[in-house]
Amino acid sequence: MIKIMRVQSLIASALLAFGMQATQAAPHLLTLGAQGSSFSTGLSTQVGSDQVTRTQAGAFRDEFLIHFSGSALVNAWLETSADLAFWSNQGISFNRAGFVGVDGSDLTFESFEFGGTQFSSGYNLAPFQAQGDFLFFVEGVAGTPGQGQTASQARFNSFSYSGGINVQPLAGELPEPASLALAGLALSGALLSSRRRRADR
Amino acid sequence: MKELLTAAALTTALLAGAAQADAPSTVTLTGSPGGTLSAGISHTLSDAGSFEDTYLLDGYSGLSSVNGTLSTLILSATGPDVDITSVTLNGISFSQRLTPYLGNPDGRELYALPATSFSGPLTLVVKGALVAGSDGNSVGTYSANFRVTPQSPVPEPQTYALFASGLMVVCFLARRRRRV
Repeated sequence: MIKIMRVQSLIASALLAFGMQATQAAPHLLTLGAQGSSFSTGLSTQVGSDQVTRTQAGAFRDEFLIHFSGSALVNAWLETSADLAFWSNQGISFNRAGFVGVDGSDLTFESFEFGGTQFSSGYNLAPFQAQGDFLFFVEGVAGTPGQGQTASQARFNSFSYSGGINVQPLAGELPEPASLALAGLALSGALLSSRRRRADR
Repeated sequence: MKELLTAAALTTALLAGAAQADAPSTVTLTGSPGGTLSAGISHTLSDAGSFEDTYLLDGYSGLSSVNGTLSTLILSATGPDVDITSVTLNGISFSQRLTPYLGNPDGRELYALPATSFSGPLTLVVKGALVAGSDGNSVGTYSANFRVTPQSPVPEPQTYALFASGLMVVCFLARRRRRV
């Protein structure tokens, strides 16, 4: 019995993994807007973008790539909304979001209901330090069935979310004491050698 | 002459202080076989000062129910800050929710529009200001999303009255026929 359950859970995991992979496309490249030494970008554009919109229900994983060199202070946010009315609740549920390979970069999600609509948002509780490039991921489910709906009834609709990322480059880090010692050693070597050359002349 | 110069200076000052209102952006709503439409947008601002952005939501212009959200987040207490002052869809205001973040009382801003009925083309107006940080930087982003559900029109009371009177006539005629 236990074996059967294990096999079932393995099959379920494999199917889930396949499903997730099926809806995962190549990372969307984002360009940072800059003024001074600070950067910011949105996950979409002013005219909308397919990269934050889905027209088929199911689990998804979207990735957004920012090319950046050096270390920076970073934070990000997301938001979406779903009408809770009968037949209408066909929104997006966020499962997880954060930066690939950066510990402590996961967004914290919260939601509230207001006027028959559910508003969900996610953000970093505090900015974190990371080294570029930055790969931001968003995992969720599009087409959450509403009250009295079946999954197939919520299947082919239009679902969107949006969000943004802020980046503040950190000032050049101080060299390690060992690097400073090495530089000092090299400099004194160079000075000694030039002094010896002068003395030989 | 002096009056003319004063008027010119006043006009220049007013123009300089006025919000930067760009030409409207047309947002293409993505439709679906299920009938609903949606879009996610974002705008990165890099000029400190007030702004007024107008968006024409393109793809459906009939009777609809629309819900949506707009939000922004600061990165540091001394950095730039996008302060939204109002978000409206066809003149209907989004509700404001401000959350303190990094010591800034409105470091995290969220504007919410619960499902609301609209008729005709949809126009979103976002007003606010990008406040430069004390660190000299001025760049920030706001993002938003919308969901448009087309609605079938609810009949007017007159239509119901006409329908009821027609039904009564049919019933009356059927009754007469039976008697005959």
